[in-house]
Amino acid sequence: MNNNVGFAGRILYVDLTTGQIRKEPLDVRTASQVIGGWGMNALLAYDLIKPGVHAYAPENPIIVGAGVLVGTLSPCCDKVFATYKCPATHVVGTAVGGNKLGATLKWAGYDHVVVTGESPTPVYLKVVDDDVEICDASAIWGKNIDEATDVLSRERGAGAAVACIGPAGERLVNTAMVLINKCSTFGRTMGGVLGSKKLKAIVVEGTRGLQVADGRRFMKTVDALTESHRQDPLREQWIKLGLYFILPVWAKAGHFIANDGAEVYPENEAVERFGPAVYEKLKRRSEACAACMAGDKVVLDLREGKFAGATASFSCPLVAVLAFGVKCRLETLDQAFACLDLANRYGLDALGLANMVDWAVGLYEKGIISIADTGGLPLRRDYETSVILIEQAARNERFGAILAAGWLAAIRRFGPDAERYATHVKGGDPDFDPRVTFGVETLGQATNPRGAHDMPAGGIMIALGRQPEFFAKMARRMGFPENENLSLEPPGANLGRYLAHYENWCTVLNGLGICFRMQSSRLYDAAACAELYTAATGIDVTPTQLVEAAERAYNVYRAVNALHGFGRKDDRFPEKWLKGALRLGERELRLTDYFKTAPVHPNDFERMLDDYYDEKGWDVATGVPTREKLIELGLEKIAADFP
Amino acid sequence: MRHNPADVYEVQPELCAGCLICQLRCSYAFHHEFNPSMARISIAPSGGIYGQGRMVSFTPECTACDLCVKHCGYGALKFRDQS
Ligand code: SF4
Ligand code: SF4
Ligand code: SF4
Repeated sequence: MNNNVGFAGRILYVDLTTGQIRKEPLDVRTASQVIGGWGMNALLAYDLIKPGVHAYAPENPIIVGAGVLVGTLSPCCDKVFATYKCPATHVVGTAVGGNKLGATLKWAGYDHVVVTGESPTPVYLKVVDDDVEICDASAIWGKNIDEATDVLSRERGAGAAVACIGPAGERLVNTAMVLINKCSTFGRTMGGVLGSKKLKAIVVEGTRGLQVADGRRFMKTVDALTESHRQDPLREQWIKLGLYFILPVWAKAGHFIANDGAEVYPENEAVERFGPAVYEKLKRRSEACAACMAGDKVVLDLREGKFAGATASFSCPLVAVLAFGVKCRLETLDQAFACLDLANRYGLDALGLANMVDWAVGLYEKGIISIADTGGLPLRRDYETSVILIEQAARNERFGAILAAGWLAAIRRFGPDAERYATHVKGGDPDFDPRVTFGVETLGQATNPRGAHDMPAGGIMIALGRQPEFFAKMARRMGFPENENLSLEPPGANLGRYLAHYENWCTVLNGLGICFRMQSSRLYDAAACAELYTAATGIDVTPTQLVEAAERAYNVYRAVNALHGFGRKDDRFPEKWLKGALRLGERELRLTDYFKTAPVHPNDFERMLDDYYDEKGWDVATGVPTREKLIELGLEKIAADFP
Repeated sequence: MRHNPADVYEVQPELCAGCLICQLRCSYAFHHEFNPSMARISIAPSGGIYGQGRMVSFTPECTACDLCVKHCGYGALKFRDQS
């Protein structure tokens, strides 16, 4: 029995150098100032991740935290976050995962785990309620994620969550990642940080359980959200296909970007080769995060490659198409799944690697790099080349290693000519091209401190053709302040200002641990979030107060990164987005406002950023939170570090 | 009168997505806490290995109250056709 409500009430600190394990009470008052969960991770990062620290230094902590409502029955709410200094990008980023790591942590009695230090020999961290142990991992060091997870889950039994790295993480590949229960991706660049600590895995099992302050009130909202999910006309589709059902819509809209950002992949080819009809034949069953009613993770049959005949579990099977299928021009969905599975087993960021392969082939075709650079490998967009590069990347050797070191390292190596063609922001991989649709999600790829990474809370502007009334309605749902400056009415749609508030809404979802995917986040609005938070924690908040706490949390996140040297100068779009054309059949897509009324020129983009920083109350020239703003938010201690 | 869950429910473990909603509903209903280890239904990875499906079973304490069955959204727990 656990005496805390909503919050589990403890932080676990583990030092792998000394072997010291400490359990400290969570200061719930402080956590609630930034909601908790994602926000508390940012506060811990502010204190613990020191400017100048190397990502692979023992002092670089890994800060893991579960959303406040994780572990309860709040629908689709099982997100867990990891904050760390990223080896590939040098930002202090927060990665998102799911699939019961957060829930088991809460049930074991912890909101956060902070791991520092470096073990002399391979270890894994075992957390079973109060029993926390640093265990020998020499028997599983070198094994791929699939094999190692099987060993650990067999040892631990039914209810354990296993977050594990593969050979790529062990070999300090910058874009190595962690998989939770073989399936949920956790940190596109975190694998090497675990590897540098000789930490193969974190295994968590919890039987202490979790209580809420006012169960009747809490369950009333849970039941209402559950019912609203049941009434969702798309529910059957979500259960059957998950996010995959969106493939034909995205293919038509132009979200499948091919040929190094030069053209849109042909719609009919995308649907014929990779569409839902092909996918359904391979899918075995859905997998879900804890409390998720719209489980869109999947277990499917592999029919191609080294592991043909085995099953694979994917967090988002659509990534196989977006990454390898489209970028590497694979012939079949089987090939795309084989590549994603291989990258997963080795613990490599598949999307990042495929983007870089696409770029490198482009450089090779343009003569910017040659066969001397590739170590004798002729670069092509095809299955064989993709597999070779995944294998090389996982071993951190040859040309694959250069790509898997990430954008910044590869650009340093290939020079400014190569940089002109690179599609990244702060070294992070974008998911969407704003020339297809320019909305909050795509502009947010520039401002996100983590680097290009979408925050598609419902994918509100990824879908084309929505009307201003829709965005006005969404603004109310997301708890935006009543303010005519926020209008998305064309002309003069105020994207920068809208984004400033949209990020706060994303932070509410993150703080609580609610999944971003559209089938999940669409269930919630600010009022429901505040009601659940109050009922779970006993801390009375209004929707406005919850959004304010989110704003505080986001300011802390931005402030951490400002201390590490990031600001407006880094909130950039790749040159090709601002100045280049994207071919869609016979048409040319250039950067245009969401409503397709006017082109967006580079100076318009700068004006949007001006609006964004101004709306945030940050310094417009530097994009850094001002002392005044931080004091206004009650962050006096942090404010003292800012001019 | 206590029913035997096997008589009233049909279990298709191959459809279980592992959402644990059944366990959370059960533990909340009977213990007022969210705690799968207290649920009267067990959801375990097959052979202790992920990806190979799950074993779904009711514990002897289960009173066949229907709650978890009503909330399984993936078709793994269903009412038997009583006709
Ligand atoms: S929608 Fe997918 S990612 Fe989101 S909570 Fe459900 S299973 Fe997890
Ligand atoms: S509710 Fe259904 S799908 Fe979810 S864990 Fe229980 S049996 Fe499996
Ligand atoms: S039928 Fe009722 S008692 Fe039995 S496992 Fe389901 S919720 Fe628990």
